[in-house]
Amino acid sequence: MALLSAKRAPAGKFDVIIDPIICGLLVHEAFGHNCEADAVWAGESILDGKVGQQVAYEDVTIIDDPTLPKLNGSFAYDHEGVPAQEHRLVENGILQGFLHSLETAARFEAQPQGSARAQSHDFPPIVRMSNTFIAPGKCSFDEMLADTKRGLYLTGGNWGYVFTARGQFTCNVEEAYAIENGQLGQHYRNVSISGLTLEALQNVTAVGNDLKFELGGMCGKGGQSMPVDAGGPHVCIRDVVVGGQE
Amino acid sequence: MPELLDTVQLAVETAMKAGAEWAEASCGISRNIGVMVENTSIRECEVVRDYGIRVRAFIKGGMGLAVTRKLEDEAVRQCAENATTLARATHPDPDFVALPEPAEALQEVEGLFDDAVAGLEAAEVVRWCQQGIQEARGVAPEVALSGGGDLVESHVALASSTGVTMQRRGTQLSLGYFAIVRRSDDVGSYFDHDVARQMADFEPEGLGAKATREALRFLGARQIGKARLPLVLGPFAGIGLIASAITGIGLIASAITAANAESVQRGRSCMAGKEGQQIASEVVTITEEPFIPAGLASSTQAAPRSAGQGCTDHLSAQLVHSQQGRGREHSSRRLARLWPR
Repeated sequence: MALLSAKRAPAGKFDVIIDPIICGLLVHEAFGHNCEADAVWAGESILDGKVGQQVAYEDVTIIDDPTLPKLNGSFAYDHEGVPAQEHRLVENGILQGFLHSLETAARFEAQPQGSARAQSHDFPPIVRMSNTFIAPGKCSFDEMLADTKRGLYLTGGNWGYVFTARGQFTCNVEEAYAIENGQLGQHYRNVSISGLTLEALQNVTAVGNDLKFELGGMCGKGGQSMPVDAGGPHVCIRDVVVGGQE
Repeated sequence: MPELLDTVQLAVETAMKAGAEWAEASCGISRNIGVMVENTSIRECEVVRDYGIRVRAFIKGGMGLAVTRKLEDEAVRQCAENATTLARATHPDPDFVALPEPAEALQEVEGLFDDAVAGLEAAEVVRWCQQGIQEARGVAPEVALSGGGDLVESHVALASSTGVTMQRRGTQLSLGYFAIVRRSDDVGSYFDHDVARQMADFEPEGLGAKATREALRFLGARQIGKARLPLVLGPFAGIGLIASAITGIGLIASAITAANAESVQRGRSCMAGKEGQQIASEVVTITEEPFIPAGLASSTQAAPRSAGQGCTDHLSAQLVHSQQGRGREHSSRRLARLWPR
């Protein structure tokens, strides 16, 4: 009902605060699939050759953790019998490594870490994410808002489109609010954001302290569908391209 | 392997004897060959033979559905009885009318099956992929090529308690490559593919080279700025929009999904109440046509054309028609309002 009175959003580059849903969507779709070692091996990942390099703002830590309780992507052992464990993909902005099956671990001379799953007995296990998220930082949402002179607060989103090989993403946003001098203002609808994944991660200016998982669902890859979850805290990113209709 | 038509008729008879008011069974066997190309090499090849039967039984409109991969008579009977038991436990659907009656004259669609395709073995699909890899490397040695080829051969049969019986053989070949070329921080990529039901319509030669050449063209391409501009969509872009109907995302796909009668009935369509109104430019006509010879999504008519499997001009001459079976995308099932709400 609230969206009935919302205006169409402006188009342009804005500093934005994304909520945990959009954060989860971006970290899974725009970044996580690039961390799957089979994509790296196939030459389809923008992260190929970047282990040990700074790929994000220094306060950004990205984790894939199947051991978290009660989440949609959790499991104890993967489908090759390897015990599940936390994977720190990015630590303080530096790329640490990739998600592996037994096969990709052998190819990359890495330790298998329990990321191979299969939809059913009909399918071979392939590298999959589990519960993927940006780790919480120190900033509260109110502090983040107060530090934003002019921008948009983006909240809710169910789908996105990612061009993995080029690192491009487009993400649907359910609703947005103008931010003027640290205050939420005009309510907008019909919003989308797009950009380059690594550029957006480098342009993060603040990471919130309010981690939430809101995206429990199924992820499709290679004709297989697997349960996953994704999330994060509120995150502030500068110079994001916002597609609106005004 | 039992005769498929006998199998589906056995299922329908069993469901009716068990108390179903209406019943329908669909049975199929298939052979799928898949060859996967990854990182410019052949990663795996699989041959899968699959089969199974689905039985739907209806009591007071409530539907029970059961599926099994066993096609022996006893397993089929058990499947049909299970569907009927489930139908009895389902809430009645007051909107249910009937299953479709048989067509007066079965309309066959030409070109859906090709003996030449059905006779192919996995080695041939592997050979096409090897050829594509060689072509791609010949254009750009550093190319990362992924994708592969598929061959599907299927035989399906359907029968219902209203007397509908049909069976159809189908074949389909597909070959597609995603080529990625990286030079420094620049990335060029392109996907191209060919899909056909008939060997004579299939052209695997040159596909790997073309995908790689097009990927090279993207090197140095700039990001576009933002502006409101008229767009000219090439046929490939148009196909992409229609193909996205699978997910319900996309311009034309949105229109088709919205024109689906189930969406209208459930009140979630922007087309609800718009029959006869202008909802698109006068130059726009969108058609759903299942009878195109050798069409990838074509199928044999099994029910009366008026019950919805006829050609449907979704937005013919920018108007949403109101005739039964035209305008909204009525399937035979939707006219009967079978789906549980």
